[in-house]
Amino acid sequence: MSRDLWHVGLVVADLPAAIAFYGLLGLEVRHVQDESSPYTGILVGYPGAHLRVAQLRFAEGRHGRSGHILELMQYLSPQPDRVETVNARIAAAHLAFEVDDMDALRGALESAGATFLSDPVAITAGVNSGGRTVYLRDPDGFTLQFVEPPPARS
Amino acid sequence: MIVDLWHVGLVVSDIERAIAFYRDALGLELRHRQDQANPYTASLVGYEDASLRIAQMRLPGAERGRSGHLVELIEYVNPAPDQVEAVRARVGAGHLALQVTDIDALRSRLEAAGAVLVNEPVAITAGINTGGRAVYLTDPDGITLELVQPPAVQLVAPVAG
Repeated sequence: MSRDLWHVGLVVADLPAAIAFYGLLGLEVRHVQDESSPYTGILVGYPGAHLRVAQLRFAEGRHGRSGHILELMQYLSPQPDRVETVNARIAAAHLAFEVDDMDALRGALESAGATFLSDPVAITAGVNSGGRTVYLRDPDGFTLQFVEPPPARS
Repeated sequence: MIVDLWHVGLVVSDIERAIAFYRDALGLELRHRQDQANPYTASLVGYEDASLRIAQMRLPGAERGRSGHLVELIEYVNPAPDQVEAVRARVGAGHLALQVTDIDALRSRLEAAGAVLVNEPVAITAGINTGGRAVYLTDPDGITLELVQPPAVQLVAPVAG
């Protein structure tokens, strides 16, 4: 049985840059470690794999047993590849956060290399009607979403 | 500022098959379904005339944020989605890791539902989760999932005094 979320993992090109970017979102580093032991190579499916991993958590808010919510992974070996991000792609993932003021975040994130796909849109249908939302790409091309829930919802 | 996780969104090829996989094999619950074909959705995802079928899945018994769900499954009815080979060592690649109680029982259920293991489950022999076990697998759409069975006694920092 699945008990809880452990984390969401993201492969990044430059770990310090990614830590700085996600720090703008209010995520703090809980732990950093290099992983190059045999078990890691087996786990990720690359013999001899060498990863540098940072575990990030909300500065305030819930932690599961893992103690973190986001795992940023830089592959030192093998050399990671890169493809253009396409939203309408089978197996594409995005990570959505509840935010309290997406307009306040935008400027700092754009200065740090984020690209917003549009201006925030009003959610006019469905279960979150009355809220606002926007998609953006982080500096590595990973898709994030911000959601401001409708005020009446609790 | 960020308040909480809202969800992890995953694009799938067949919403019915994906619901069956994430519910019946992985153990999530279907919380809500909706079709989205409206101007705000098109602006959000960046495709004119976008048409999506959505299923919100939640973890039974787990603490939930305000969104009420953990995983959003998305089938693109329009535009037709493309597909590329899944590569784990790819900048921008994501994976979803779940804490599980019985990694062996769950991997069997997932394999029966079409999942493919990258390798057999491994013992975590270094780092802060030493003593646990973990496995990477791909779901029928090539989405990378990780199952983590934590160490039976997870080390905690000593308490002063």
